[in-house]
Amino acid sequence: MEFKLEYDKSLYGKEHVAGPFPVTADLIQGFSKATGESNPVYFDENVAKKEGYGGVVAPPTFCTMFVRQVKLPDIKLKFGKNRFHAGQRVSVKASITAGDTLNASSHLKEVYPKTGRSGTMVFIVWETTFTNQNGNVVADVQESFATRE
Amino acid sequence: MSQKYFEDFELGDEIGPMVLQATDDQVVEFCELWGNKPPNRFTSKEIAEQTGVGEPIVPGIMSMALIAELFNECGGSQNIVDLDVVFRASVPHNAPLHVVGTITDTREDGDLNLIECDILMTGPESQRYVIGTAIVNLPKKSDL
Repeated sequence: MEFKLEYDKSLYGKEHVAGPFPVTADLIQGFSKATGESNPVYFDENVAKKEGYGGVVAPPTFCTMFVRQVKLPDIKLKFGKNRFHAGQRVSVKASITAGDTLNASSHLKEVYPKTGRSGTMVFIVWETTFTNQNGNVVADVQESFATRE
Repeated sequence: MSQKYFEDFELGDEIGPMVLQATDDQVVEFCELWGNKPPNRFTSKEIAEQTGVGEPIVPGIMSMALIAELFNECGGSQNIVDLDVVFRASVPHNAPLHVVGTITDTREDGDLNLIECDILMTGPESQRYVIGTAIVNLPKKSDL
């Protein structure tokens, strides 16, 4: 039997933007410190430059911090009550370094059901593309949220 | 941090295990930076109880950042190309978190020398908190 999902499908193809987000060495170092990082490329400009970066480089998941700054609309899903953060994917396209300015653009990627032993869950996937001040894509971030029956 | 090379890895090899934890202070610090000002369900027992999670938990994106540190064992987490995680259970504060990677593929793709691995973050009683996959670009010894 086909599972019929009711939600606002008109959201497909719409982009929701946020930014600019200035990337500073302090912000990179704060993120790195809070997550227990000790890798010197995230703290020391000289080490980062020796490694071929333009300055203190950001950890690969750094831009996930900005995803929630994008105001996403309610997809009006008629299923379930409790929504939780089910997963996250970061695809790194280019390095982010101190001095960069990022912009984010998010769109609804997919909504799909999955049925297992514990019943049916519906997954909502948003994709956010980050570009830098030169218009180059630096990362794609996918965030999945699940709702249970 | 140690440098490892593409040629150092074969299918089935393990990276780690790495044991770390997210302290209360670290979670507060992370929430401040993230723009999710404490107190919230990640930092306050009272709010966590109200929202049904029981105890304050580590934010998903913070767990992901912790996992990335595994790759400091092979040249640095800055070499990660793709990190894809599924949150299977809430990650607690102040508890040992074991992270391990198991190589599932090694391949050359243009200028990239990629290792792919399954990732697992577990608790002290082997509770599965986070699972996922990672793709990491490593230098080759032969290119030195």
